Amino acid sequence: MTAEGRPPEGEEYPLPPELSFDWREAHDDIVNEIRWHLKNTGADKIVIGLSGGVDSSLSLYLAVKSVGLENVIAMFLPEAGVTPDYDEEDAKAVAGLLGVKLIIKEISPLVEAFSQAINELRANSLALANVKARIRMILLYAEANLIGRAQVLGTSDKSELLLGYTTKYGDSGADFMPIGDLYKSQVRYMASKVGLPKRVWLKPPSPQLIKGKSAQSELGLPYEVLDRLLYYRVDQRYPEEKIAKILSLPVETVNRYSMMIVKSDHKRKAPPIGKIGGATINMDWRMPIERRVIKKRALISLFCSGKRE
Amino acid sequence: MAVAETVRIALAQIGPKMGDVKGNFEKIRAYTEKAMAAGADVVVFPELATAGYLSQGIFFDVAEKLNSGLKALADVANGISVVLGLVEEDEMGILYNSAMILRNGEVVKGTWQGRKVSSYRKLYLPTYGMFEESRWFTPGSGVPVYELDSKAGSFKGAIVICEDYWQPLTVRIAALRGAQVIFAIASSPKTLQKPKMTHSLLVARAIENTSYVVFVNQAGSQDMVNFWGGSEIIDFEGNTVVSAPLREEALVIGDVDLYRERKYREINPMLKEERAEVIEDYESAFAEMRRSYQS
Repeated sequence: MTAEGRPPEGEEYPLPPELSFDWREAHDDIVNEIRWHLKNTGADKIVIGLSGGVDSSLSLYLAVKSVGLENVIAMFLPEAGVTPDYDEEDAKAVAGLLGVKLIIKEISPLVEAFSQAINELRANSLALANVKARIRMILLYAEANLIGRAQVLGTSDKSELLLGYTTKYGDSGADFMPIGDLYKSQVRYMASKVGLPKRVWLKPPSPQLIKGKSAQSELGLPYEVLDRLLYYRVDQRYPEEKIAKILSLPVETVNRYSMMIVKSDHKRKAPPIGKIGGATINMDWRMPIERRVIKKRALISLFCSGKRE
Repeated sequence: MAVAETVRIALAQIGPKMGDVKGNFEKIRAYTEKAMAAGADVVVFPELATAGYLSQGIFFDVAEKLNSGLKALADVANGISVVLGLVEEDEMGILYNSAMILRNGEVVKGTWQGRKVSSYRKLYLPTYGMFEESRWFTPGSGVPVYELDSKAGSFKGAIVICEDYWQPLTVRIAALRGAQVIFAIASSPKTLQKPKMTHSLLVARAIENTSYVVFVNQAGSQDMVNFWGGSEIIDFEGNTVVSAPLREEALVIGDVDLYRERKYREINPMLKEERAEVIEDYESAFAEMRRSYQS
């Protein structure tokens, strides 16, 4: 497999039937969206945090397809003692496969510096986990600023975003999220179809913020089930009772995940602004992203009146 | 003028840049000239071709900049009718998601309930999901029919805009007013299901109204949304006459055979069969539905 070549016929990730989709179409849609975003934000390069997991590996693949490997920089940001060796091997394998430049930077000294500055962090694993995710975000943005004209590509998928299984301004701190409308299972499926290594798309997902914790151990259900639950709740808007029957789960379980969607709403939105004036940003003042470029170009003089006959 | 038997139509599947009125008009002009060179009688552009679709707050700026571009385009359109989706601002400062037809330096007038009108204003403004058209635009009040010239004679056409063809009545009204060709212009955002659904829907509109449907969609991306293109001419039996590629900008030319269409209406008399009493019952059913929502 190469980034440019045709993926080989091979094994594919077993996708639950509800989530079946035309992966080639979705692939081309995402490529177009990435190209559009770069073009219209005045950038030509992409910085991606590559963890060795399936989301960031597929995102990297799509970024390379979109703008070419010379315009993509991957950063592997491990933490000694927490990040498993196989993630490093997989990150290197994926970057090598795609021919992308891989920067490796240990975050342990930075984590230690924060722990020294705020001693209580050592006793609060959640707070510390979020600090780690935000350290990675800072490093990605620093790299983007240093190389210039670069955008940070966020690699969150729809499952994580809906459940709020992200760190605000950490892994969810990014300029755009091309695979954010694909469920984890769909990401794994597309990764298998484009020919990424099997161990990457079969690997149990984990944010690797706390040693030994996998996504399933923290979320309580495997993604195969969660994705179907989310699909029925969000895409089909089924009530919890009906979903519980379809998935043979206790209704309390479905309710719990349904509530996670509600409670994490704030993570998916720009911070709300208190309304004072008449043209409040985002509430009244609603502008497209592309406008930045437009303003420079679209200045023409008027010489006709606007009368309708 | 004689009644046209065949008309050559160019589908100008462009991807306008949001708010870039000048650049968009340059592109529209270039496509119009190419269509003229190909001998087209009509060139059809997508919904909001001057503005881009997801332009939100800059629709106001776009409307202000419209007129000079329109005049220049009309002057270029010698012997060709340019069907153009645009943002229209009336003298009161109200915006409409409209379409106009330009030809020989003029805005071609349509006929609506005995009156002459210079634009078609979209009737159904989608305001759900990702759509927020009612926030910016005011809906129109009816479907005018246009008497259009071609090299072979005159024919009748009408315009519907995107959501309008998801509602069967707009196209029906156009057909009842005598439209032989329905210009269905769109800015349709791509989802994985949308191209197939839209095609099926337009085939139904063409068959049930025994009319040619000329579908022209935007192509390209705006704000991380893809507009899928896939413009096509569908005949009254639901066959695709010509089609444009998905996603990419393109100019595709096709002929419509209006003689065949008229003869076909003898075989499949969908319009002859229509009854006003049914529409009255439709009104009644609609009123009942709204009342039942209230109770």
